[in-house]
Amino acid sequence: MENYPVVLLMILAAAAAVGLALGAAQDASNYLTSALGCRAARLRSLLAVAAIGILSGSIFSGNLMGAVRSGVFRAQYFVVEDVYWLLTAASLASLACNRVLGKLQLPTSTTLSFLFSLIGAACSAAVFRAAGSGSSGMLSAVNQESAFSLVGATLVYMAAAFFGAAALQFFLRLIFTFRLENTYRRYAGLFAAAGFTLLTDFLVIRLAAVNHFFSTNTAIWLLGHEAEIAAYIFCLYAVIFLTLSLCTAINVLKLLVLAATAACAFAFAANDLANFAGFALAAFDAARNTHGDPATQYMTAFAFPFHTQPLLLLVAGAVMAVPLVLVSRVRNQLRCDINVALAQGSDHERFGSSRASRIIVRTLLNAKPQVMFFLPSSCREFIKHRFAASPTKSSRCAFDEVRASTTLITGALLIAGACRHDMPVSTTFIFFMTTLGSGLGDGSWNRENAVYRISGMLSAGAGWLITAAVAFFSSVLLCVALLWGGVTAALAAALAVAVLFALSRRNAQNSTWSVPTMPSHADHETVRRMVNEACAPLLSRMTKLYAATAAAFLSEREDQLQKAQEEAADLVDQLTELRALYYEMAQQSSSSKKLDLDARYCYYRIFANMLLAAKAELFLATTAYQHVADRHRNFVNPLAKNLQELTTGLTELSIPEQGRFSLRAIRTNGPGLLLVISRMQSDLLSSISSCGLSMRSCELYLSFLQCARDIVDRFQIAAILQDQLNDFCDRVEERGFIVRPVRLETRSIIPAPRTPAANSPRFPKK
Amino acid sequence: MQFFYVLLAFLALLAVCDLFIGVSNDAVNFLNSAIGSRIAKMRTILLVASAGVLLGATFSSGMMTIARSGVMHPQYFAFATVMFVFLAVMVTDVLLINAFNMLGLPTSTTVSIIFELFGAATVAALWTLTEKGGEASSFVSYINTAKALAMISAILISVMVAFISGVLVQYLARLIFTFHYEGAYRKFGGLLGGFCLTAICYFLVMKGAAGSSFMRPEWISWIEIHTRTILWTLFGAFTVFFYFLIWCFRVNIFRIIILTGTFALAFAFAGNDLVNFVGVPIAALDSVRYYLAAQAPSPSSFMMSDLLRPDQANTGLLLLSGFIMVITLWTSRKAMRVVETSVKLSSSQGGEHELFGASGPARIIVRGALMAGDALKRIIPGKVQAVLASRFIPRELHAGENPLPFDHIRATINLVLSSILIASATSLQLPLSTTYVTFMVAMGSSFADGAWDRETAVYRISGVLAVVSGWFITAFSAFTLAALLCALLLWGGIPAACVLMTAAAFVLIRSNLRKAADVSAVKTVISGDCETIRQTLNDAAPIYFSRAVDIYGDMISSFFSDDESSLKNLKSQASTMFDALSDQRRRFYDMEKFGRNSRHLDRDARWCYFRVFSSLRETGRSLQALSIATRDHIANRHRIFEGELKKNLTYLARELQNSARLGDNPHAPLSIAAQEASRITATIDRMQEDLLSSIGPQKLSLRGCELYLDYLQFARDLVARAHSTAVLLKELNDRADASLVGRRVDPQNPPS
Repeated sequence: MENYPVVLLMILAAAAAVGLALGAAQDASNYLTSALGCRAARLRSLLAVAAIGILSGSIFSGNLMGAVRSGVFRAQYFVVEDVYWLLTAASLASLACNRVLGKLQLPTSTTLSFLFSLIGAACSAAVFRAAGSGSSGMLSAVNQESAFSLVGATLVYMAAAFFGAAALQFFLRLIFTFRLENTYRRYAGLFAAAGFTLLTDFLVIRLAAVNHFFSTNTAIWLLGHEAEIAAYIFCLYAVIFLTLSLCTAINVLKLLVLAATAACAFAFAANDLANFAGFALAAFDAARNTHGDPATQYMTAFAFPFHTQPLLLLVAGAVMAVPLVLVSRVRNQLRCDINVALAQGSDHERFGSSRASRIIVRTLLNAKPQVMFFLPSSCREFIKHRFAASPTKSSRCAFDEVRASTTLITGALLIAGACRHDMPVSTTFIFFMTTLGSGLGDGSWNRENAVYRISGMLSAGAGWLITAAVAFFSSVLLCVALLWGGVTAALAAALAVAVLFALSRRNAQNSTWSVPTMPSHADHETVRRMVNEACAPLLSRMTKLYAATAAAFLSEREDQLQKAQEEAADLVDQLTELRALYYEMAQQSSSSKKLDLDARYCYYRIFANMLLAAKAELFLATTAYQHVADRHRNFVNPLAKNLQELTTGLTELSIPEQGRFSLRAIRTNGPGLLLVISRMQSDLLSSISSCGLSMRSCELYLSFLQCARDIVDRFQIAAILQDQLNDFCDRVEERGFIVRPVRLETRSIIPAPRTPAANSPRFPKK
Repeated sequence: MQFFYVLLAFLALLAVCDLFIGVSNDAVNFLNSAIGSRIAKMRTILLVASAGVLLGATFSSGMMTIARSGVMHPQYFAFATVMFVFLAVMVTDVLLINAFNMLGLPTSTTVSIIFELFGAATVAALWTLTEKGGEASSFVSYINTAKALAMISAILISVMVAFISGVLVQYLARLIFTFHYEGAYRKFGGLLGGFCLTAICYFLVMKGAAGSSFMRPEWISWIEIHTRTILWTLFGAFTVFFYFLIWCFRVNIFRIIILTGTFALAFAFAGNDLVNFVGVPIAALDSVRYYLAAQAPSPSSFMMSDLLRPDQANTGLLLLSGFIMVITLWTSRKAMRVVETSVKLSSSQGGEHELFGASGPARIIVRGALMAGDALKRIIPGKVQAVLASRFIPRELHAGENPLPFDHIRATINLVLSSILIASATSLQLPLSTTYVTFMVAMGSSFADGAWDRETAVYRISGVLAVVSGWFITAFSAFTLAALLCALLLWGGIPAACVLMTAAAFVLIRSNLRKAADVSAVKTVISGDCETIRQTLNDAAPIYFSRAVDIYGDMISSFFSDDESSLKNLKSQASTMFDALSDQRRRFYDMEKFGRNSRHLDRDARWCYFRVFSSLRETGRSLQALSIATRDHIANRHRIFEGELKKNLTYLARELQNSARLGDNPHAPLSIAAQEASRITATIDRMQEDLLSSIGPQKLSLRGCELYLDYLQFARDLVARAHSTAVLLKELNDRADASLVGRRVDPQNPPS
């Protein structure tokens, strides 16, 4: 193959484009979450701001690119040919590693995978060549000190991000308190001015200076007089923002959050562009700077500081920015990600609790009284006073502008600072840590969530290690494969990565469902409407699922049973979410009427009952799946036919319409069906001995019956509750005054034991 | 030199221990069939087995060379090195077998001893090489690679051969005899008996003679010359004898065959497995003897080429080992327990309780086998299929008959086939894993009998796979551990040896003391008549309910006192209770199976039993879930309820405990009356309503709320279940009383 560099360059370019577009979309949620969480702007406008930030940031990324390139390995030890191979291997490995770890929901970082796949490929190429030539000189080809310092920097910056954000937020909260409306006029203008100054100074001036946008003299002058310039800028901003905050209705804190978001996008682009496009751009440089036989000429060009073409960088930036703004699918995915990230704060914990985090929480809780002991009591009182919660806290926002701007500014400054010192850092981890840190500084950690936050931090650390290890080893393997297999191997690897992307994309489409939204005010009418809308579809979903499970079981379709199992699990999840809304309702307004409280109580009980029915279905689907997977005997005819009849009976119970009478059928026909179930149960009993039914089949059949019984029972109770809810709502409308609802029937909420039924005859009739 | 005496004494001690442990674990292999088919009294079976073990022990002299020169070439090793190798092997053996037994993994003494020798010899060879500074390539000559490989592959192949031959022979036998073998028995019984006994004689006595300790060479050569004649004579004599017995005396010759088979298997077991237990100590004893005889100057320079000599082991020693085995057989309670459990397990077919869980590979195999079976059915012509099917119709059970785990044909095949396989390997001086061989033969024969139906196949195959993987795990860990210990010994010398000996002794003592504690009695099936059930239920139900309430109350109080360790304890209590309840509930199926044609009343009582225990089990399940949730809440250091909520919960727990106290009335022992139940339920309802209205003002967390609601839900369930159980029990008691008095109760309208 004469023209293999062309093939490799094409692969690299494609990988870079895919990496840029997808990586930018994937990572955008890191810095957009804060702004959306305090509702500073709508997503669309935020994306526009971010796109501007990315475009301008990408121009500033040239410096870092060169630094990384010569930082990890000493290119002059390699022949040009090897550089091509190792760049291709590292590029594909890092792309695949990002994708796989991202899909597994592990915290991962593009910077880390970039660095470690480069190190891995360089090591592997060096060893491969050394083994071929028998000399050990190649081993110094990997720039060990520099690589170590790069790796160490990402860790140090993570710690700095956490503690910096925590300290800053604590300080700011002391100033602003949670009652922003009191302190806004006094401090907001100054704070905004300070924030803008810092952002301008760190991002624009310093980065411009090191990126050789000015002549050398200008740059030296700028850096020499930095303090003065900053002071002037601060004064300028202070005038502007004080005017804005005092004289106009513009919320300067929102402006600050927007600017910080742009700054973060800027810093992100400056730092992360190299992760995606670095391999391709390096390979282009290599191709441009070699004028001989690539197999013999050594790669000396990388050793010198090198200016990447600003135009190329701008193109790369555009590839990152354009999909964010224009492609709606990307936007939707992003919205989904951000929703998940925001929901974490309330009750959905992304990270489970681990033993290590339990130990840490335990220790911290034990240590807290000791620390408190050392603070003077006046100090303690002051802090407590400043951190007192706002009496009129609106629950619409996850946090306020002060915390959002802390998170963003700390992140942006740290990344920009790292860029200036030619240190690539992991933006994902930095933002993750600043978010956690600002939450800590804000006093939002408590006994309910501390253990999950800490295990989040620990799993970030673990994710760091895992990313590093996976990237390193996969690129070592891939590089060996490429060096050994040549162009064929490269094409095969590229194809494999493409297939991986195609597969994982399909999964992404499947698993999107929206978190149920909470109405702004949950009075009895809203609750009633929610109940009336939800009941019938849920019932028909459950009966359909039951029918599907039974049919799949009788026809021994393992795949369909698996699907039924997944759907049941989905149903349980959704019902859990729906039921959890009672909690939000209860929190919403403490001054609700008695009637509203009763309505919510009904809501809770209805959904609790439906959740139990869904759990029974999940149990059934799992057992049935196991039975078929183990290839145990299926039901033979009298039993199978009975089951089918039961299924049809159950399906007839659901009427496909909404409204207050949506569950009427189950109230009229339910008791009859329960009798049928009892009869089937006693039939089964008599056939245990005659048909030689095994215990396992018998139990499974009983599970089928019990699940049907659960569905009918639970929905009957739900129907009664729904009627009562509707009745007393109607009565209020008619008479205009509140009637205390009759105490709900208590007997029926008692669940039947799993197998025997409350309604079945006490003894089988013979 | 004194040290080596100590070492020798220690090895002897280990050998005795090994014999005890090994026999008590493995006795099940040769006793199982005879006991399971209820062919004779326990005493008789044990007597026959003892005779087999004793005789077999004297035939194992040939096998002893395995420990001497089967794995290593002793002429390259110094005396001290060899002794350390032996010590390392024995200590590893004790540690490993103990660990595997404790973890419940299937293992084999043969596999472990061979791989231990292998591992220790490898390290010793490397050590000697580095000391002498020889070529690395000469390492191979230290190990008897040919023999070692032969032994390893023999173990693997024997497992396959055992299974396949089990399937084939059993299939043939079943084709001839069918499940209704009364008719065929008169025709072919004598032939079968003659064949089996001749085979046993041939493989055990004639082929095994070469390895026995008392045979003279001229006897052996005489047997070799006249083999064919002897065999035909024997066959003819036995056949005639058995036909005579069948036709004239109507003796059940299966009794003779199975007892002979038991004898043969015990014989083969002793012949093959004795080397695992005493082979190494005897080799060590011989080494010391040779060393003393040679009067060599230093233990580290005397080379052990004497071990190469095929020396007939001391008949006295072998007999002594045989006696120890016999004593164990008669006295070990553990052996009896293992046998009982195994018989029970194999008899409860299709139960929920399988020894091995279903695994992925097993599922794939079952799937493939089912498909292959379908394909075969399409190929074989219908007529042949019909004939084959007619031979495999299982026997109908008489009313009230307790079915045998397997019939006499299968027992015969199992015993004869496995003893033949093991004995022939013994005569080739190949050690086999007797456990695996008997297990696989049994598996194969039950497969051929169609006993693997779809309800059990996946677990059986999982079992086979688990055994095979246990083989690999044993081999790997034995090799590694023995290598490590041997390296430690060679490096540390006598002090290290002392440490190791102490450690091994400690492990031995501890494990034997522990064993005494966890004697889990195999519970007997209660008979399914109304009175017994009534008794059981009246006794058990209130106790379980009050225990659940107690655990609930304790859980609440330790929750409020933030006590993680006591919550952990409560969690394990709840799990134990759930397991016990599942076990109780399962007995319904046993009762149903064994008492099929029983009275109407009994059947109703059983149904009542089932419902009560189902309900109790659900209580147990939710109690378990609740205890886990509580423990996690506290372990995560989430907030604990305060104020009104705390008071309410404590009140609820106390209330439940008060009402669940055992009543005095023997006919209605559960005192949660209807009135009380509805009162408590109303309380729970009010608490729930209170909670939901106080979320807003009190700033409760969602997690806390859910836990509180879980507590309430459990209490609600418990009350409801106790109430319905009380109603059921009352009804049962009333009906039972009525039937005792003689009044006929109309089942349609039971008295309220």
